[in-house]
Amino acid sequence: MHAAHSSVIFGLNPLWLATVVMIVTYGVIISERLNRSIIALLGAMLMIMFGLLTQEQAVAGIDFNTIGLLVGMMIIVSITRKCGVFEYLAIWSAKLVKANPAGILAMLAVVTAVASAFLDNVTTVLLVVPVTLVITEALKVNPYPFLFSQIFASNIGGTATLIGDPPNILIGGQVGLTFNDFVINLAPVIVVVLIVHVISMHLIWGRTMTAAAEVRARVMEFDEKKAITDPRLLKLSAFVLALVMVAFVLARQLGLDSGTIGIGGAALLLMLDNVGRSAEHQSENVLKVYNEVEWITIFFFVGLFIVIAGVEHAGLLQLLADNLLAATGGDFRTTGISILWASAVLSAIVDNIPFVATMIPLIKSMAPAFGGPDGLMPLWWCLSLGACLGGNGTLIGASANLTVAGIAERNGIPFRFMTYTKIAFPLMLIHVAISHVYLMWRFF
Amino acid sequence: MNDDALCRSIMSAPAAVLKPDDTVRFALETMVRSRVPALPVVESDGRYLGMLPRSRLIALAMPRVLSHEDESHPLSHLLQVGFIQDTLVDLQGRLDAVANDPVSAHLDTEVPVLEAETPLMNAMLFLYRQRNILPVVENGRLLGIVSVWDVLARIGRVK
Repeated sequence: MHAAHSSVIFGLNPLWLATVVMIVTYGVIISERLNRSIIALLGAMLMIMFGLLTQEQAVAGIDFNTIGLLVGMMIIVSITRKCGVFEYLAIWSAKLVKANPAGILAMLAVVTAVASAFLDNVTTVLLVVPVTLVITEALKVNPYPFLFSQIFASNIGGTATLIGDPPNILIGGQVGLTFNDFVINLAPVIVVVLIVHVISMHLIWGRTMTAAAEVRARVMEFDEKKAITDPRLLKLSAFVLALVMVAFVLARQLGLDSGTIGIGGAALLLMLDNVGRSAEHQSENVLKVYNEVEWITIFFFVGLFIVIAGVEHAGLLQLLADNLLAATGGDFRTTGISILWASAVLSAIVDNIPFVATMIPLIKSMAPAFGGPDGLMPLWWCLSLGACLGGNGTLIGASANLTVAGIAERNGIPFRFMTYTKIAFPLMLIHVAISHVYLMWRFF
Repeated sequence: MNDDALCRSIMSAPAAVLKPDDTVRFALETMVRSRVPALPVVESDGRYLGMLPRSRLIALAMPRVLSHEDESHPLSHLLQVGFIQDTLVDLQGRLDAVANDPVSAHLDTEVPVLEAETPLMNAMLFLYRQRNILPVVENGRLLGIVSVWDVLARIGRVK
């Protein structure tokens, strides 16, 4: 490590230089003046060009377990969604409550949360929001409460599992936590938060919603079976998804990392979807799937991993960790609760991915103070709950929020930063407070 | 450049021209009666404002989310809409709700605009890409249109 330092350009202090590169990178990410994947890659390149990292060290800093899990799940989802199962679920759930608008408000929140536990949040809202708009139009009710509720549900549901939200994928991938670790430690509180969310949506909007019998009859006429485009693909996707879930649950026994399971599932589903087709049809089909992988996110992660490797090598993260420990007096409970609330408030204002990616090595370096890596477990749950739930606080807190707002605006439904934040921020604080109580009770 | 290689040579007069405060219902009736796929909308002083294509009228009769194709989010397109059991009466209801809107509220301003001096081949490429009627505009004023029927008639020497 110190050999690398000696080659830093102009003989500058590596700690300062790395810190400046990181601050400039994060500053531009927050300002949104440049696409986040571009600035992350530029920051990564500067770390290498300034001699803070060799190329070899930079590549070693990229966590391919996380990248593999992300890409694998994106491929599985891009194939699965083609069969129309998500539209089916949304319509089915609306009919289950006899097309009563307050009931639909609650049902769609639950459907969104469950889907989001297994899919990326943005994907979930992209799939659920269009059907929601068709339903609310038919019912002649204001779509805003439904969209607001789905933003929350997607961020809440995503917190429950390893694969539900990018911060969890990052934490799981880099710390080596399993799918079961997340479900066992986070799902119980997420169920409570979801129930509280559904109740608050009902109190704020649902209880005053009405729809005439004849418009409800129109929604009851929706034929969810017609939403299924490809029954064969539905069976294949369901089979592979089930297999992937089993592999996640048995990951420890099978000795498989999550990246292998994600990419393995993707390869299997690609094979099942393409075997027997002509070579030309296959390349066309596969290219379409690969194009739907969110490369902006992937390149953003790659660049970010290298920037963080740079500040880690320079010793900044150890320094920050030591300072944080000094500030909390080395008290485990204070450290955990500070991480929870700081992540929540920060994630509401800025992109939570760079924050979480920086916090992971920082928390890891606290291991000696808290009895080794196993002793750190509760801190990961503080980080995950804070970062994921905090994203609900403002319209820019998570990418799902902006996605929903974008679709809403294009459909003539105004989605304003302040009107959203006025209701969302207090609700987010309540959810984090529930998590606070849960963490105290269970871990501290 | 040879004048025959320019849009000027295939330009014609539009079957009808809409004013910005004409109603959607009037526009629809005009389009159906004259069997044209789009009409130009022009201010009383001759200033070109945009086109009203038939796709806009079709969109007004559908649930709104179906007509808002979002290129940046391909996932948000509904893949199947057969589950919506709307009848003709439902479509009429949606159109009735906006029938008295001025056409200026539903213009398509993205339609490519030609000039009299635009090469003929540029117009051909637009026609090939599913545009049926293109406005020819000069100094902000509508000079005429290039329509797929005029062009085909000239190419095939149909009298």
